[in-house]
Amino acid sequence: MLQLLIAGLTVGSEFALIALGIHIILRATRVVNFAQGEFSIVGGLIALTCAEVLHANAWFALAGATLAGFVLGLVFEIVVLRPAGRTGGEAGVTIATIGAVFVLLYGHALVPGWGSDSHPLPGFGGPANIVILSLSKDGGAVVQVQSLWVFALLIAALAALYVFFERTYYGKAIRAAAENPLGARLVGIDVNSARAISVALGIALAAYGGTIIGPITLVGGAAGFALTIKGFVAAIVGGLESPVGCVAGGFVVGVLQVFLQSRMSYDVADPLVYSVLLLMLLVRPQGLFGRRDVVRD
Amino acid sequence: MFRTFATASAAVCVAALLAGASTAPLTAAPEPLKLAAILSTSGPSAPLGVPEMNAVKLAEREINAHGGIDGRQIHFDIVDDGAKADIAAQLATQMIASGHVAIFCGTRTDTSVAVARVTGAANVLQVYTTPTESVWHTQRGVVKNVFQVNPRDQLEAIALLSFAKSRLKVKTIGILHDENLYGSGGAKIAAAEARALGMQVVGDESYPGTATDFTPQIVKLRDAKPDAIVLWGATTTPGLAIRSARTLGVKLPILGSSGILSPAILNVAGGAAAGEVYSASPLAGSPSAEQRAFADLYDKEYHLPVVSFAANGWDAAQLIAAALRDAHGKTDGTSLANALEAGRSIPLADGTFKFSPTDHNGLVPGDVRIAMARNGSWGSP
Repeated sequence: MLQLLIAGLTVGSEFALIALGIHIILRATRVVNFAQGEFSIVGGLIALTCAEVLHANAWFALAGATLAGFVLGLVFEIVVLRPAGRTGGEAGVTIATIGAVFVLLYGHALVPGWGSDSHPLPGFGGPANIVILSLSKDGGAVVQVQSLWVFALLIAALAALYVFFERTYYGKAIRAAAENPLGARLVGIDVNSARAISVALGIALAAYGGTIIGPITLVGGAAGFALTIKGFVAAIVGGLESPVGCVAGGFVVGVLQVFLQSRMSYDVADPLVYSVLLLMLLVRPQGLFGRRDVVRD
Repeated sequence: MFRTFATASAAVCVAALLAGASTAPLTAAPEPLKLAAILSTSGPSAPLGVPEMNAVKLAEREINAHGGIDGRQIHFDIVDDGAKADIAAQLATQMIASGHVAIFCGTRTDTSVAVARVTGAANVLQVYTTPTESVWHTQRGVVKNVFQVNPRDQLEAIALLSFAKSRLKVKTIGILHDENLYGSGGAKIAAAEARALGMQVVGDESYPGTATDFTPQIVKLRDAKPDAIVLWGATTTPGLAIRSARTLGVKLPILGSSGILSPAILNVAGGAAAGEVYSASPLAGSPSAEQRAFADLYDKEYHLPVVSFAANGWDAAQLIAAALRDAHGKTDGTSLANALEAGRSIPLADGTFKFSPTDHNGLVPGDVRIAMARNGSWGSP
C-alpha cells in the first residue's frame, strides 16, 4: 500500500510540474500549451547532452536545461505564439502549440545523440539506483533517492514561483499584464515582454521537470503528448487558476492512476483516470483548489 | 471443329508469344530487376529501420558482385514509411505500379500488415522482419505471397521456456508485456507454450509504451509469487520495467523476448544491477559461418557490430534474391512463393530457412539461442 502511494506521488510530481507550466502559460496567454510535455522531453534531452557531452554534474545539467528551456520559451513566444496570435487569435495560438508538438516530437529525433529512443540520465546524489527502506506495518517500502529529490525540487520550484509572482515587483507586473492587459499598458508595463517572460518561465519549468524526473523515467522518446494530457487532467482536478491546486492535482491523479492500475489492468485504469477529467468539469469545474468566483474577461 | 482448332492454335500462339516475351528481357535488355524496401528509417522505429536499410544496401552490392540473378543485376529502391502504416501502404501501391517485382516491408508489424493487403491484391512477393507470425498466418490460413524472416514469437517462446524449465527449474511464470500488437501477441503465445510445457501462468500484466512507472504491475506479479518473469516487449520501455522490478526488490530471473536483446536496454535497466536476465536470438552464442561472414562484411562497411535488425535486413534481401533465382525468370507473387515453398535449405544469418506451403517462417526452435546478461552486456548463459 505504502509502496503504491510512493509510486503514485512520484508519477504525480511529473504531472504536477506539467500542470504548473500549463497554469503559468495559460495565465499569460489564455491558451493551453499542448506542447508542454514535449518541451519537458526536450529539456531532459538537453540535460542529457550537458551530462554526456559536456560532462557536467547533475546540478549543472539541471541549471543548463532550465536556462535553455527559458531561452527556448522566449523564442517559442516571439517566433511562434505571438505571430499566431496576431493572425489567428487564441484559436491560432492553441493550434500553434499543437503544431509545436509535432515539430518537437519529430525534430528532436533528428538531433545527433538524441534520436527517437529513450536514454537514462544520471541522478542527483550518487548512483540512480540507491534505495532506502522505510518500515511500516505492511512490510515496508522502497523509495528511490531520486524520488525524494523530485519532491524537494518540486516544492522548491513552487516556492520560487510563489515568491516571484507574489513578492517581486516584476512578478506582480507580469500578473497585472495577464489579468488586465489594457490597464497594465496604461500604467507603463510592457505587456508583450511580460507575456514572453511568462511563456519562458513555463517552458523553463517543463525543462526543469523533465530533468529532475529523467533519472526515474528516462529522457527522450515519444511520451510527451501523453504527459501533457495527464498534466492537463491534473490541472483541471486541482484548479487551472491555482499553482498549489496544480501540484495537488498532479499528486491526486498520480496516486489515483497507480492505485487503479494495481486493482485492474492498465487498459481499464487509464480511461478511468481520464474520466475523472469529465467528472471534475461537470461537478467542480473550478477544481479542488480553484475559486468559483474567478471570472476571466 | 474448325473453330475449336482455331481457338486452340490461337491460344498456343499467344502462349508462345508470352513465353518469348518473358524470357526476352533476360537476354536482350540487362536492365536491373527493380525491388523495393519500405522501411521505418525515421520516427520511433528508426533504431530498427536504419540497420535494416544498411544491410539491404550491403546485400544488393554483394548479390550484384556475385553475378546478380542469373546475370541480371538487382536494384533496391529504399523508401521511408516513417513508422506509419497508411504511408507504407501508399508507398507499396506506388512501387508496384512502377514495376517493382518484390517488396521488403517492413520494419514494424503494423506497416507489414498494411502492405500485405496491397501485395496480396497485386500478387507480389513480400518479405517482412518482425517476429509476429500473424502477417502470413492469418485465421483464414497461410497468405501465399508473404514470408517472414526472424524467428517467429512461438519459436522464441519455446526456446526461452524450455530453457527456464530445464536449466532454471521454473514451474510457474508471471508475464509482463508491452500493450501493443507485438507485446500482447507474444504474451499470449508465451502463455500457451508455457502451459504446453506443463508450467503454470500465475500472472499477466501489461503497460503502455509510454509507461514510466511499473509499480502496480510489479507489485501484483511479486504477490503472485512466480518462479520467473517472462517479459515480452521492445524499445527501451522493458529496460525500465526491469529496473523497476529490481528497485522493488524482485530478484526473480527475467526471461525477455528478442525485443529486449540490446545493450541500450541493459543500460536503462541499470547495467550490472539488472540482475538475472535472459533473452533469445539467433545471434546469441557462438556465431555460425553465415553470421560471421555477414558480421565481417557489415563491420568493414559500417564499422558497427551486427544487431538483429541488420541480420533481418540482410536475410530479407537474400531471400528475395533466392526466390528470384529459383523461379527462373518468373517474377509474379505466386511463382516466387512456389519457389520458396519448394523447401530448399537456405542458410542465412537468422538460421537455415526451409519454407513449406504451411510454414512461411521456415526456422526451427534450434535456430533461437539463449543469451544472458552479465555486468551490463549480453553473453552466453
